[in-house]
Amino acid sequence: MAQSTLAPTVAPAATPGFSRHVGALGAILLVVFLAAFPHVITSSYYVHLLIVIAIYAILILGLDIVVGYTGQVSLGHAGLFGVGAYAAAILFLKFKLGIWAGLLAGIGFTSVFGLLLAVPALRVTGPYLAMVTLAFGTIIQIFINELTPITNGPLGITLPPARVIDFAMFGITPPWGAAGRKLEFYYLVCAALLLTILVVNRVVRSPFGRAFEALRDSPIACDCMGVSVYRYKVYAFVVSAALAGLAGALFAWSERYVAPNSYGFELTVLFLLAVTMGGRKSRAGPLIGSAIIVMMPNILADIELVRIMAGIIAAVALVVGALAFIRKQDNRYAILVPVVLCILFFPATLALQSVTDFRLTVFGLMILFVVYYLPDGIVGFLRDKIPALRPAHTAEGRTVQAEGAALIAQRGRAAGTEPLLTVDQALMQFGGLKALAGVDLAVRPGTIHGLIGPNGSGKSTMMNVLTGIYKPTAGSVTLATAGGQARRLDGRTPSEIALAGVARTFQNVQLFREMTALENVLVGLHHAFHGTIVDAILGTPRRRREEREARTRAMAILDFMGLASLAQVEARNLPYGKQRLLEIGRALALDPVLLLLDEPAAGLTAPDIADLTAIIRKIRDAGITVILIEHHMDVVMGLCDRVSVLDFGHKIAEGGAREVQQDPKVIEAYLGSPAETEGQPVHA
Amino acid sequence: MTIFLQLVASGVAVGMIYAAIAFGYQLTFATSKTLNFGQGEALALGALFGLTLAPFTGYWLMIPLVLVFGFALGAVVERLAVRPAVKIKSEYGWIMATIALGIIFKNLAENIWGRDDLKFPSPLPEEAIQVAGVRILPMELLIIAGALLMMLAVEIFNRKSIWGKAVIATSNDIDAAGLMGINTKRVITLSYSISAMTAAFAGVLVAPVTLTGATMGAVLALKAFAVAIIGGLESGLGVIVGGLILGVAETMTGFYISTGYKDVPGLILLLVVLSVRPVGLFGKAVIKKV
Repeated sequence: MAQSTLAPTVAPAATPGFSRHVGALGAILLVVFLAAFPHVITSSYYVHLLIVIAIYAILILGLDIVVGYTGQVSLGHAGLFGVGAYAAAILFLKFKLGIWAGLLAGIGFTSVFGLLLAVPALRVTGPYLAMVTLAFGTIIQIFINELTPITNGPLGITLPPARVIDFAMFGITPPWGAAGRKLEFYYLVCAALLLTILVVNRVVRSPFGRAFEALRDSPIACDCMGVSVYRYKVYAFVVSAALAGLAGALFAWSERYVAPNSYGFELTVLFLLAVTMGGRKSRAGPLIGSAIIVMMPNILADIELVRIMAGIIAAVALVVGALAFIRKQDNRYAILVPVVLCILFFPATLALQSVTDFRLTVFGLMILFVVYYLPDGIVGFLRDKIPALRPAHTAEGRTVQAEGAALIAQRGRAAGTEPLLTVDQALMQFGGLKALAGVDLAVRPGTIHGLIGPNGSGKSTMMNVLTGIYKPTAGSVTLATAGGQARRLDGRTPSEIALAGVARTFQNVQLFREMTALENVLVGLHHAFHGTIVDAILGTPRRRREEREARTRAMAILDFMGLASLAQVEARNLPYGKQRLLEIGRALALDPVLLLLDEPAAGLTAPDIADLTAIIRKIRDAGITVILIEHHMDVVMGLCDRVSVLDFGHKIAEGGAREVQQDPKVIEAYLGSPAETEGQPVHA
Repeated sequence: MTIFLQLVASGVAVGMIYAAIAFGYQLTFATSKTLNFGQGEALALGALFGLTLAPFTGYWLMIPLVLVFGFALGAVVERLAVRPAVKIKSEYGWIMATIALGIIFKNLAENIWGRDDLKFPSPLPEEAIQVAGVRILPMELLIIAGALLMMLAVEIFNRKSIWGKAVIATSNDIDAAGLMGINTKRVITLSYSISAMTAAFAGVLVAPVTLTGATMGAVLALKAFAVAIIGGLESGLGVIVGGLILGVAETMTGFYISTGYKDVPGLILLLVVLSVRPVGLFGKAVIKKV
């Protein structure tokens, strides 16, 4: 195990050509399948089944944005689905408007509800968010039931067959005859599904998608990269809700009947099962998951089929279990429980006359199975086993060449006597504790300013005040801008401060763990993207140009940090020293005027520290002012032009490195006063 | 004025049920930062189990048996759904797994006891007592007394017994408790057992005044979460205040607006409190460390 942390596992480079085309191949197969299906299998029952699968898939693709990309649990999507369905149905009931208006209304209304749902999601995550979204879904259901004048209450609303294309309006007869007319709705749903896949694909590969993943992996680092967690959570929920609304409106017209109880807790759990079982963060996963949850009740209704399936599952489980024990695999005891359960399932089906009543139990067991044995879903499992199926879009950066000149955009003043950053009487109080008790700090441009002090002296608090994570109780923080004006930083949000040109790294590394090194830097370059979400969806020339330029910049930065060869490695798989360097690289991507390094050398080996020192010097030489918190005194003494010393929230000394080192107050703070330390062990 | 008092009186009893369930949420959240999304099903199973036993044992003798049943049920939930997920540090895992177990329990209950709601025989006379013009059912008094007694008993257990002290130690700092030789895994199991036990007990308390069935717990549990949030998931007896607020708000809504909307104030309260003050009315804000 120790080996693998040192030697990064670089993704196999042998098959990029093939894996790049897997997506396109899958898309072509899907289109052919959808186009041919109703002509091969003409049974309207199966065509309808496929319609339902496609509609659920649209919703699940949207749910994946919230669950897979931003990592939030939503139990409210069945409610959103219901809002979409009712929007379409009510529009027909009250205004006799057809399917097209219904689709627009479904998307529009549900987006607004998604916006509402995003409000609590900004404040809470995890179990809290799960409960909030559950409450949200329950409220929607209650209102649908009770607002009888609008929704027709528990009776529901019945719709006529959907008229997709109104030929009568153009005064012509349909070119494909009566039989073809029945398929119009089918092809409309197929088109909606393909469009959804395209839109989701474009969004998740855009800066928006990267922001979603970044806020999942480290919200705090996300904010400090100038990417507002608030704003992007709202985007994620609105896009996701819009797709749920589209699916809902289509569902209303496909079933031609809406009733309040169809959109309850059970459905929401099924959606989550589908997204997890199919596989998060993929397009194939939701399709597979949707097919499973729609077909499962049909399979369970046929006891013979269930027995055959259970027999096959039991046989496979028996083989897998036996092989594991014969080969003495490490996990043979861990898989014993599911294997035995799978085998026992077969006699259980023989004993039962019908399993339909136990449908929910089967779904519950499937959730448990997926959570513990298939956390990345079917697609994740396949990607793990077959490298060619891994997503290829991250490989686009391979061909990009680094150009050193493009590395650092000059924004601040590289020299001058006026301070770049001025902290005036910063006071930070936590209850009775003054972590900072009125500290002044003046950092001159183009210098490396050291900030040292014993543990608990207030260094990290200062860092958090400077970057807006803490709002100071009193005092001010001012940054001199290129135009010569002063800009107040205190009271602003971390992302505003980051965009003003203050970048930072973290004492405990805060990388976006599931993203590659290149993508991490691209999140830092978020400010360089000016395209809107419409640009992302349409894939406009502006969007493509910005992406190309940003990738070039990102590679240049990685090259500068000596990480170019690791660009495609996920951050969590990088060795620790490289992770620290990547964090600095990501901060540089912000084009900062001021870079805050919080113990960059902590935990590094001696050769790594030498590299780091060289890099910090180069950063300073490029015109970026640096504030350095560090415990390695040789690093501080070797690098810093000026050093401030904190102790118990007070600044006790300031000056050149050597000067400070000799200061009796500093020595006392670190080692204690001579009288006290006599005969006692000294802590460095 | 009498109507108002009448509504308050009925609200108090409902509120105490919420408080008891919310108290259960607090217990497991304190020890393991997790909670059972199937708490409502634990309540329903407790009530249904009690309903089956009552003809043989009578109401009073049935209670200890239901407590034992709830205790065992909690341990099962913890072992099957929570412990494996906590081991792989998956928040999504325990949320989904406890939901899944809840669904399974509900489905099994439907298959054993049927889908229709059943009448739970009341152990006390069903005629209301008149107190200053306010009609109170004897069963409502029993609910209030029973819920308070249950919470009191658990508090005493936590403060006086060695296992209870282990629960408190684990709640304060699970790592330090582990280093002091406390088997924190068993403490978490214990907290789940006690939590499900309070839910099952709340089930047999509330069953005589409502209908009994597999789905009786779902909305109760969700609203109890609202109470736990209002009171603060970390702060002890805030749930009683939260329960009272919600119980009274609900009977008021039921009377002045429509019984169809009586679940709405609790859910709205949950949305609003979490959107505005996620730590609850009685909770303390935590400073995030970077």
